[in-house]
Amino acid sequence: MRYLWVVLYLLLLIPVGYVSAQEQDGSAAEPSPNSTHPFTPGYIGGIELGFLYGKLENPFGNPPSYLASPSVLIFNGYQFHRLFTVGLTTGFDFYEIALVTPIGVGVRGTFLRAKLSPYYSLDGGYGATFLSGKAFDRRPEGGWFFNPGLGLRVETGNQTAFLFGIGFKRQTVKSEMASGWGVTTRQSITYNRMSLRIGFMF
Amino acid sequence: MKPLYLSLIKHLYCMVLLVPCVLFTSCTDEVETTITYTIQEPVYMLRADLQEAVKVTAPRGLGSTGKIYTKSNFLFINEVDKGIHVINNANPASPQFVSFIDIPGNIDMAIKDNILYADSYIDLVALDISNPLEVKLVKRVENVFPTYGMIVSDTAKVFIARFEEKTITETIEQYNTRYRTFWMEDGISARQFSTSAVPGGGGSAGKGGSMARFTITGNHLYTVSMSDLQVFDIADAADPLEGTKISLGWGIETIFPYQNKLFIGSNTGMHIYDNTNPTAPEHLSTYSHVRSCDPVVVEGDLAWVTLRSGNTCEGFTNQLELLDVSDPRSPQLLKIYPMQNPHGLGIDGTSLFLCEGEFGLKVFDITNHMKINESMLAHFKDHDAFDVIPLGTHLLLVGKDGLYQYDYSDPKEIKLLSKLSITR
Repeated sequence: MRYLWVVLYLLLLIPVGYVSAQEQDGSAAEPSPNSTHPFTPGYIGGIELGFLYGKLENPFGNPPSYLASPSVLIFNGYQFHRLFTVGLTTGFDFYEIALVTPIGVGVRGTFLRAKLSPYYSLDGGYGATFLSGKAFDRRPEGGWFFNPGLGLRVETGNQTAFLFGIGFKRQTVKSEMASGWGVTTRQSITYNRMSLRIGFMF
Repeated sequence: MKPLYLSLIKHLYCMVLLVPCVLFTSCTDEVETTITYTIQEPVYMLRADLQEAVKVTAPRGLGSTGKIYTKSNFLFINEVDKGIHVINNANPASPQFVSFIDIPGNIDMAIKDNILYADSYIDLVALDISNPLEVKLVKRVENVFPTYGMIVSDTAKVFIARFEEKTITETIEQYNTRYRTFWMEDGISARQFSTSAVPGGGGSAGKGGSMARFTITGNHLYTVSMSDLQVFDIADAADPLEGTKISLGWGIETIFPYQNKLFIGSNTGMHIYDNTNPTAPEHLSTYSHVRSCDPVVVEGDLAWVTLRSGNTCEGFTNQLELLDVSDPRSPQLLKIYPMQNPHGLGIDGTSLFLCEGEFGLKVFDITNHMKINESMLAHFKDHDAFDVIPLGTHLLLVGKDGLYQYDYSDPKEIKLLSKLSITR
């Protein structure tokens, strides 16, 4: 049932990007003399896949655990300037105890007018857990996230590009677990993760 | 091309600088774990204080109801762990509170002649009640009853009187530094459990309900703890002497004497002991049933056993079982009557009084014991019913909400005589 919701959620998001991208086609042809492909105001979509790498200190002097959580990031925004695109961010972060669905605002920008250029990204918002399964009988509670990053943008055509990004993601999650004999364990987790993602921009 | 190239290098350089920072300074998950749990904190009592504590105080209203016991015109109602209400019941339509005897840790009682025997945590106390306004402690048998399943060391100055629930929240670091023992629910309810008593057989002994753990036959007082039967010689009523102790296995709940037998209800079955030699009862048989609570009463060759479900009983059965005990070495199940939540029961002549807990009191005609389900005389649903003592023409009934007295001189026309409600 949960997976059905995930699929429905994805179906809701992707056509928005697709339809908007189609609309842009007609008006995207104002050439700029200094660039291989001109940057024009308009819709920008992006989907990125990757992992969130982190470390967990273990008690009693045990060595730390190294963790990698799969991550999907979907961006739909409007480009005002080459250095400034604003949009909405969502996706899926598959942490160990929770599936977090970030819902936030994202800013993107490309530094250079070139086929190969560094870019920046800055996302922030709330990581919701409504799609998450129940850990220890209870659905974890979501929290705020913040995700700055840098990367390389490799242009492949008019307004399309591959993205190779690295960043830092901070996400809080709360979980509660009741074991026997009236013992309740509450965990307040702040994930500090390094994100490595590969994406496509359109 | 050169400026572009340089610019790219510059940005990459920034990135390379930034990434290790992120990587090595803060990419560790911060986990804050707090644990909330409930402990049962033991409350200790000095044995010296316990020995000073028995005294008579002014009559007071019922705070809660426990076991009941009756002797001549007096009625005794236990208030768990606090003491005993003495009530003048000469007129059952209008019972009068006479006094309250403070007995810390009291749950059970029995009376012979003018001596009231009561448990006071680990001790047995014998009180002279010939004047209920001036009760005198005549004897204390020290350290005979287990507290939470254990006999206290004779040299110990303190014992565990009770447990208080306490909720503790601490971080995982604090928690890990200590080893904790969690007290199980069973251990805690051990003292509270089972609340009433069995009809005493001896001539001048009083009468208790079917859920009693204290009973008197002849010159002996029998008490059952969770696991043992303790015999006291009370030939001299004012001087009870500690007798033998017989291990019965875990989960003992009630004791009912009938003729020269002792019927002991446990949560796994009914034990029958031959009491011909009262100082050393001998095991005859054990009738096993599913795990549940079960007071027993016996009349003639028939034993009536109720099984009920509930937290402390662990069972899921609610029924009245009828056993043929004409051969006490081999009791035979005759019939099972489904019930709602049967607790204590009592028999007088052809009438069976059955407490159904929150479902009230049921009265059956047992002339045909195989078909009592077809001959229910009355069902009083308005109040809780825990245990009963039939007294010939009137019935004492104790429930969570108070003590009720019914006139059953005509079993077809049972009338409520009076009610003592919980007032505090």
